[in-house]
Amino acid sequence: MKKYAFLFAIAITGFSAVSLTSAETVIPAALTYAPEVPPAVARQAPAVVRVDLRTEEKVGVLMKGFEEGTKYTFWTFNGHVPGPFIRVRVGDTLEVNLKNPKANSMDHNIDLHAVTGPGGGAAITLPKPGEEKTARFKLLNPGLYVYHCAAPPVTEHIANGMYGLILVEPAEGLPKVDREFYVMQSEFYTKKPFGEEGLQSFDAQAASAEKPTYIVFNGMVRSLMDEGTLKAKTGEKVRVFFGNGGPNLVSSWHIIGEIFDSVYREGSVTGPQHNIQTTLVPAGSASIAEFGLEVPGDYTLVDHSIFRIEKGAMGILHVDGPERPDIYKKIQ
Amino acid sequence: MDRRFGSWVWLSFGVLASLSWGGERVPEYANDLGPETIDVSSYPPEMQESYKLLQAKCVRCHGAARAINSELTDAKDWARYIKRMQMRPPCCNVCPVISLSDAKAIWRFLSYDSQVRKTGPNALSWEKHRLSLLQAYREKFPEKYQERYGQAANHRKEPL
Repeated sequence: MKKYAFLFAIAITGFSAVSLTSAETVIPAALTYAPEVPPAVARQAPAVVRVDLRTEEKVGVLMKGFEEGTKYTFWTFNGHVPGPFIRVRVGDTLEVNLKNPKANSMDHNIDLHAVTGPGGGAAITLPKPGEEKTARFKLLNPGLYVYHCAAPPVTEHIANGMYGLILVEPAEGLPKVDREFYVMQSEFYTKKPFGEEGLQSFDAQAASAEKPTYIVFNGMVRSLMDEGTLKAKTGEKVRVFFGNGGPNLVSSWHIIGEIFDSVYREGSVTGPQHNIQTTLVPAGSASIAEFGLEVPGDYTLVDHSIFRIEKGAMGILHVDGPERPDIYKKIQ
Repeated sequence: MDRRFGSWVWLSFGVLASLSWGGERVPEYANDLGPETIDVSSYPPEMQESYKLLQAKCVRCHGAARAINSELTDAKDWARYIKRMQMRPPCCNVCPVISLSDAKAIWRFLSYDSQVRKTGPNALSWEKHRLSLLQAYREKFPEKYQERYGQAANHRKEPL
């Protein structure tokens, strides 16, 4: 009799455990698109965070033009270049659902540099067109990481726009700032020259020679100018999450007229360096820069490998506020 | 007396002009030796407005002569050229931020103006003007001429 009671107790415990697991809370990730950044993680404890991604091969604008503009067949996560900004916390479990609609021509997957395990997840997330895959990853290391498609040929998937950033916040979070921006640099290689209008095609030879036609922020020439100009006010502290999707070039990221008060080099959030003028951001890596805004005006974001501005690597941060002649003034 | 005075004035102008070329920098293109303005009074009002824009924006970095006397005539070439000018950073407040709408207006003007002044019935007079600029450039700045135009088969090509 005692024996049956014992077995019954084990069965009940097991059932409860299964019930608890199946009742596990899965939080949908708040995704944003460049230059927007999701709010800081408010949770004090890890959670399972679900990210729904849909791969999409679509024609979009690489550069606005005078007639039809320069168009390109981008391969994207969720229809955007760069893909969504994912913000989670160290210790979280990331549940990624990757849908590859039937209309696509290629297999796609995701290699998250934040993930520990073969392919950064690419090995277990490779849906063919018309399929979807789901996988879970425990996020062990805080930092700002690039993710990208790694389906063969990985070169072409990245060159066509499949990358984005994932921030794994440290348990204590990041210091509070007034504004955050998401900026990602990347290159495009086309057979016809810069500014040519109409649908452009990928130039594999130029990509192999690492001679891009376009070097852009957030997937389009002048995406951070005109109506896309970043805006802030004097007295504010700004944080830029800057990624480099490559596929080839290292960025010498710089903001003309600003000194980065703190830079978390290569996305390592454990210890920032201070008073940085230009920071190197390798292809497939990221950097976090924080700076206070003291003087109003236009601040130009560039890749300080400076001829790249002529290929599109330029954006503007417009800062409003009262003049500060104690810091910056013309004498004559 | 008047005639002699006039000669002195012209001579002084000539000396000043050569001093300014000699003492300062050599113009980048033969275009820069030509006029800085054109008469657009017969152009449609929209084009006259765009001409003002060209005079306001382009001269922040170079003389309007560079665009006015350019050998470019094709709208496609002008588009490529203006898009490149758009990618100048406004860091020292010299290069203007040329918005897409401003760039488009300047492009429309230069394409239209090229058709009016450089092709059709005006093609010959334009050709003559262009050759005279190249000739003057070659005489005044032979080294720069060789560097800029010497490699081109017809010595007239402007690198884009």
